[in-house]
Parts: sequence; C-alpha cells; structure tokens
Amino acid sequence: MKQGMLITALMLVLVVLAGCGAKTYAAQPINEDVDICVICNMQVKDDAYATQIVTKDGKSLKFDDIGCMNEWKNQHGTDDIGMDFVRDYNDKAWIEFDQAFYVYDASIRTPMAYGIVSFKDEASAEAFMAEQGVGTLLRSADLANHTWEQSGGMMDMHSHEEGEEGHAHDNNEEEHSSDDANAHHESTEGHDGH
Amino acid sequence: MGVFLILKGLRKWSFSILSALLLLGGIGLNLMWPAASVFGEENELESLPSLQELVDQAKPGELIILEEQKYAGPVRIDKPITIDGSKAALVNEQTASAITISAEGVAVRGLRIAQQQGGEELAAVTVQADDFLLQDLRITTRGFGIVLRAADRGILMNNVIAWDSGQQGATRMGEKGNGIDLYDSHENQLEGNRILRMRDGIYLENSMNLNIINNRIAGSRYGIHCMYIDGTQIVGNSGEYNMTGAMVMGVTNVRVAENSFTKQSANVNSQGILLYDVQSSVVEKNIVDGNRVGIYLEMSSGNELMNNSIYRNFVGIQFIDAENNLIHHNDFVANVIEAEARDSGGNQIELNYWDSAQVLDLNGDGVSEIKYAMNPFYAQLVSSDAAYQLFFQSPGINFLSGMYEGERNSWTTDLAPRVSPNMPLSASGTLTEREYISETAFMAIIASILLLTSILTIIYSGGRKS
Amino acid sequence: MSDLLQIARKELKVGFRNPWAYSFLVLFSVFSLCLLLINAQTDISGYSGVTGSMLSLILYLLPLMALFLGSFSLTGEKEEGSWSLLATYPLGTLPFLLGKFAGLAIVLLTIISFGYGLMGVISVLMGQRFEVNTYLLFFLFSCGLVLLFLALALVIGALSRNRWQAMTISVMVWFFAVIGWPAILIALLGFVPYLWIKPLLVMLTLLNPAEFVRLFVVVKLGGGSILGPEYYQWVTWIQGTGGSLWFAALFILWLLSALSIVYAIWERGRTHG
Repeated sequence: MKQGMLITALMLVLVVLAGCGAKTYAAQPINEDVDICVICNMQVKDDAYATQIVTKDGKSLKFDDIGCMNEWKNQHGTDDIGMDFVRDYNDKAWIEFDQAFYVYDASIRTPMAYGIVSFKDEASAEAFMAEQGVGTLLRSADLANHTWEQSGGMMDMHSHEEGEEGHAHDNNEEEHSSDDANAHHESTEGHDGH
Repeated sequence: MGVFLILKGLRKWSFSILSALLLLGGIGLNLMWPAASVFGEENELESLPSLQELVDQAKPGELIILEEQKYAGPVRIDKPITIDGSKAALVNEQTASAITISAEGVAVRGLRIAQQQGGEELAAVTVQADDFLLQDLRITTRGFGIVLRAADRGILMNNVIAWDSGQQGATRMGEKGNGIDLYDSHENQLEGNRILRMRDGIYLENSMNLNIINNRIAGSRYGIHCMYIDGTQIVGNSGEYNMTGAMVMGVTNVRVAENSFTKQSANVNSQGILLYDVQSSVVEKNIVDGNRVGIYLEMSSGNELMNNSIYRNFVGIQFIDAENNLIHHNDFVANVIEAEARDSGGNQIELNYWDSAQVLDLNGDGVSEIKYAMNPFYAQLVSSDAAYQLFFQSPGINFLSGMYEGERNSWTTDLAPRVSPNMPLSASGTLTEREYISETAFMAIIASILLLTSILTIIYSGGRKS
Repeated sequence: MSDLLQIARKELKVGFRNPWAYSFLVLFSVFSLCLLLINAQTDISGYSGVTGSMLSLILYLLPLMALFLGSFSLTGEKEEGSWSLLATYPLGTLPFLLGKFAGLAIVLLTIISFGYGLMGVISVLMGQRFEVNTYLLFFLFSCGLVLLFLALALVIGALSRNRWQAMTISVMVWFFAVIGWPAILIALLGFVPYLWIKPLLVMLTLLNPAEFVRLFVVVKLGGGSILGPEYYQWVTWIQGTGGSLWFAALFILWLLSALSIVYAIWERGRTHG
C-alpha cells in the first residue's frame, strides 16, 4: 500500500516533467567496457570508426562501423532516429551523419571491413586520400546509393592464387566489387531511402 | 610457462582468488626475466650487440645459434636462415617490430623477445613472407605479439605471448594489441601457443584454411576472433576469463571442436562461443562452462551444433535471428536459464538434454514425448529495453512468462528432448582429495552448529515450563 | 530493557508452540532437501541453475513465512485481549514492539538455521560439493530477507483487526512483492518516457526487499554481468566491500522505517483505543 501510493505520486511527477523540455540529441561517449555494436555484437572501440544513433526517445545505439549503422537503418527504417552521428577520422569528434564527408575504398581497413571513414570537412578528407593514394569522396546522399560491400566477403580462391602480393590482391577486390555492385544495389534500393 | 600449471592447480580455490592470481601470474611471467636484471639499464642497452649484423653476415640457409646474452633489435630477416636463440633475448626499443621476416623459409626458435614500443600494428614479430616457422618464442609486448600479413603456410608453435604492462600499471583493453594477428594469410598452423592479457588472443581476418589447435588464451578480450575466414579448424583450444572465448564472425566452413571455454562471465557482454553470420560450419564436442552466455548464435544458418557440454552458464544458449541450424545431442546442465530465443523458429532442434525440461518418456526409448519449447518472453522484453535485465530470473518474471502463450508454434522448440545426458558429465571439481576433505569438514562443522543451535533453541524455549 | 526481554521470551515460547512455525520448518526443510537431491550430480557454487532455483525457493517461501508468523502474532495480541491487559501496565509501546520483533526474529532464524543445518549435514553425508562461501551467503541473506519481511509483517499486523484480515493482506503483499512485481512494473513503466525507465526501476527496486535482496545475492554470487550494460557500474561497486556496507545501511534503514511505522500505528491505536 505504501509502495502503491509512492508509485502513483512518482508517476504524476514524471508525467508533468516529461511534458516539458525540448528535444536535443547529443551523442554519448563510448564506454569500451560495456558498449557493443547493436548489429554485430563486437565491442565498440573508442575510435574513429564508431558511429551512433540517438533515437527519438533518447536511446543511444552504438555501432563499431558505419556499415553496421547502415544495416540497422535497413532493418528498422529511419523513422525513429533522432540524430545519427559519425566521428571525424582525425580528432574523433562526433559529427552529424549528414554533415560529414566520407572516403571509401575497399582497401581501407575498418572493424567490419566496410572500408568507409568519415571526416568533418572536405579538406581533411582530401588530405587522407592524398596520403593513402586511394579512395572516393562521398557525401551522405551518395552513401544511400553505396553498395555497402564488405571487402572480406569477396575473398575467394581466385584472388588468393593469382595475387601473391598485397597490391594484386587489392586490385582483384576492386574488380569484384564493381561486378557485384549492380546486383546488390537492386536488392537494397528499396530500404535505403533516407 | 609454469603460470598455467600453477593456475590449473589452484582452480579449486574461489573465483576471486583465482582471478587475482591470474593477474599475479601474468605479472610473474613478466618477472621471469625482470627488465632491470636481465635487460640491464638504458645505457647498457645501447652497447648490446645488434642481431641485424649477425643476420647480414649469414648466408642463405645458414643456422645461427645465438649466445647466452641479450641482443638489440630491430632486425629484418630477408633471406632464408634459421635462428636458434633458446638462451638469448632480443630487446627492441625502436619504433619498429623487433623482428620483421620478409623472405620465405625463415625459422626463428626459442628466442625471448621484449617489444617495448606499441602502436600502429607494431609487433614483436611481423611476418610478410611464406613458409616460416616461429617456435618456442617467449614474447612480452607493448604492441602486438605476432603479426602475419600475406604470409602463407607458416607454423607458429608453442609460443608464449603476454602483454607487458611495464610501469604504467593497468592498460585499457582497447589500447592493447592482438596476440597473434593474421590478415590475408592462408594455410597457417597455430599450435600450442599461450596468450595472456592481450586484446584478441588470436585474430584471424580474410584468411583461409587455417589450423588453430591446442592454444590457450586467458585474460584477453576475445580468445579467438575470426572475421571473414573460410575453411578453418579451431580444435582443442581453451579460454578462461576472457571477455568472450571464441568470437566467430562472417565465416563459412569452419569447424569449432573440442574446445573448452570457461568462466567468461565478468563482462556484461561475455560469451563462451559467439557465432555471428556463420554459415555451413560445425560446432561440436566443446565444453562451455560457467560463462555469462554459453553459446550465442545470431544471423547464422546451415550450421550443425552437436555434442557440446553446456554447463553452469547464466544462459545456456541464445538464438537471435538464427534459422535452419541443426542442434542436437547437446547437454544443458545447471544453467540458470537454459535457452533464450528470439525470431528463431526455423531451426531443427532435437535430442538435446535439458536438465530442467519437463520430460516424459512413455515408450522407454530415452527420448521424451513432450516437446521442450523456449519461452521468448524475457528475450523480447529485454531487447526492447535493456534496463529490464534487472528482472533476470526473478520469480515474478517466470510467472509472467508462464502466462505468455502467444504464437506458441513459432517458438524455438526441441522436438524430442532426451531424458538423460548424452555424454558423461565432465569432471568439474578439480579439487584434490585433501582440499575436498578440509572443505567438507568445514562445511560439516558449520552445518552441525546451525542444526544443533536451532534444535536446542526449540527445545529450551518451546518445551520449558515457566 | 527487562520489559523488552520479558516480551521477547514470551514471544519465543508462544512462537514454538505455534503449529504454523513447525509447518514452515518442515516445508522449508523438505523443499531445500529436494533441491539438493535433484542436483546431486552437480557442484553448488557461484551463480548457476542450482543456486538460481535455490534463490527462487527462498524468495517464494521465506517472505510468506515471515509475513504470516509476524502479522498473526500482533493480531493475536489484539484478538486474545492480552494487549488490552498489557496496556494497563506501565509498559512502553517501544519495548513491547521491539520485544515482539526480537522474539519473532529468533523463532524465524531458528527455523532457517534448522533448514540450512539439515541441508548442510545431508550434503556432507551425500558427498556433494557445496561451496562454503555460497552456503554462508545463502544463509546470511535468507536471514536478512526474513528480518525485512518480519518488519513488514508487523506493519500488517498493526493495521489488521484480526487474523483473517492479516492473512489476506499478507498474501496480497507477498504476491505483490514476489510474484506480481515485474508484471506491475513493466505495465506501469510502459507509460513513462524511455529515459525515465531505468532510474525509476532502480528506485522502485530499493523499495521492494524481495527484489533488492535477490539482486544483491545474484551479484555476490558473481552473476552481476547478466544484469546487462545498464547496471554495469552498480554491479562492480556492489561486488566490492563498499557494496556490502551500502547493503547493510539499506537493510537497517528499511528495518528502522518499517518499525517506526509500526510504532506510529500502534501508539495511535493506544491513545485512541
């Protein structure tokens, strides 16, 4: 009985409190001890590859790779998303997904091998591409049409036997990704709408 | 070397003591050649003979036997030679890997290696060529242990790799490197290695046809971590006190057998064996004991899980979005919750032994006529909000699950559970006879005191006339 | 003080002539022995299926036992008129209630000791391995649980007019605290915004002795990680000594507030009645 009264009182207070207060979405810091990727279950490292969705009711979903975040959007749609964040490759600051500049190349190693890194401005993205010698600059709109191929998924016996050295191997992978691109694109097009 | 033996011997002691010992044991491994006494002072290091010079002077095919002393790294081996250094130590303070192998047919045996710089995949040993042998190395590292890049058909045998925490004390797991890290390296054999307190004990990415046999990993993040590998054997390995024993992701045609993953329960995301996006693989005869989740299966199909012993986990087996798997002849004993399933109706599950299932065997064939269905209520509840995990195994949640009967035919169900275990229970008590007796005696004393006191209280207060 | 001892002694005597006490003693012993026999093959240590079901058994049985014995004892005083007799003496309400509490506590703890003693002796005779740490942890927390629910029982006894009313309320409270708790909370928390769920859940949990004792035992048995990422910091903290002290403080706070409520009700009844 005592508890019942307390609960009722608390509920009233809460309902009132919940009514006020405007919605702003802030990215939460990564806690390596407990955070795992919502999609692939791997520990989310506090590094530049981590991404995050804050839902409209304030739940924070963390991903270890932007590809996993894309996978979540495919599964659940984008209606519940309050804000989605990626991180700058250099200073790890959280950036809004739509504001960021992306560089993709199959040879870039990311936790789930999607090969995409993000930057807060165009200059640092260009600098990264110049330094690596590879990469395609993308914006969030381009990502909607991206194939989201994981470089590991394309490895097969051919590329192994032909490519003794790392470079030959990379070339093979790129050829492959363009082959697969069309077929894959058709199947995911319906979900990718942003 | 002795650390694991000592650990095994002490296992009967309580959990907390053991984990403390594990840490101490790890430190002990570092102390086996204390930096000050063995490696000497900083200025002494500069005068150490360079191993590179010896390598440069050697002819291809030569065997170099190192003397009983310390050498300075780093060294690049670019011709097929064999280095035997069972009495020697290699200290590397440079920002490079202590040993880099860039020629085929190199063998390094018995050397102690201290890699004192970390970061950007700096390792004690980096291999970039095929047909190599690394055997009996004892490595302490502040970066990675052994890194293989496009290195095929190598053998890594009986190496010991431990994290060197140095003077800085505790290191965050994320700052550490992996014990053995393979990328684009095929047909390698990893056997009998021991890895302590690294990030991932053995990390395998984009590689094929590997043999991972009888390795032991403790106190690391993931014991064995597979990403996008094909056709690999993971047999006879053991993991203790890691965050997750085997993290198997994005693989096909892998055989995970006869491994033992125990006591992976400290982290909120711990598992014995995690299978994510795994196809056409076999998981058999493993022992998963005392983990947070014994076997976790997600987004995986076409796999066969059989003859596994799943004991004393908080959750025995957990299915999420897993379809078309064959799960049979496993034993589930003394798990707090035996199975949790969500969106996983299409698996063929039969002939497992679940110690808390209601079974009824009418025709005496050892198989129950009552199906065993796994109630998805709690799994669905916590997937919507993890805060409700506070209700784990609360009596009330059992009551509530009992009332939840929606769409029963889509639940994950064992169609024909066995009424007795498929395999003999593995000996769990590693108590020696003497400890067992002393613990039993202690127990007997406490229990009899309690019993006697209560009986006396009843007699004296209830029976006494006032 | 001598009044208090007098009352406690009387309570003890009455308690052990009460057939209810013996029926609970038998029930508890039989069930715990059954559990022991069912799990004769496996070691009892840490958080596992065996300790999990033991915990459930304790949570079902012990609160009910404490609620019944405690509330009946107080309503008995009213029904049999012994309180109206005692009230004519210069006997303070506080010594009376504390004496009642102490006497009943000894009765309940004796029942528990008997059950655990029997369990321990038989497990030794059967040669089953029952880790001493786990055994002691279970014993201590059964005691704690029983004392907390005894305090609650006295509140019920003070509020009820007769035995039947006390029994009805006891069963209600027991059902609410032990069985209906998650159902009620899940239903209620469905209405609050997501970010409020966790803090509310924690606060409400502290109000339910069955729930916080259960969680404490689970954490102390090493099962804290199953509670998930939301409670990670709590769990690490409770596992340390700080957690035990904190638990002791919560325990005492709970006892004191329940007993002062009983005192207030009883005192009011005395002046008004």
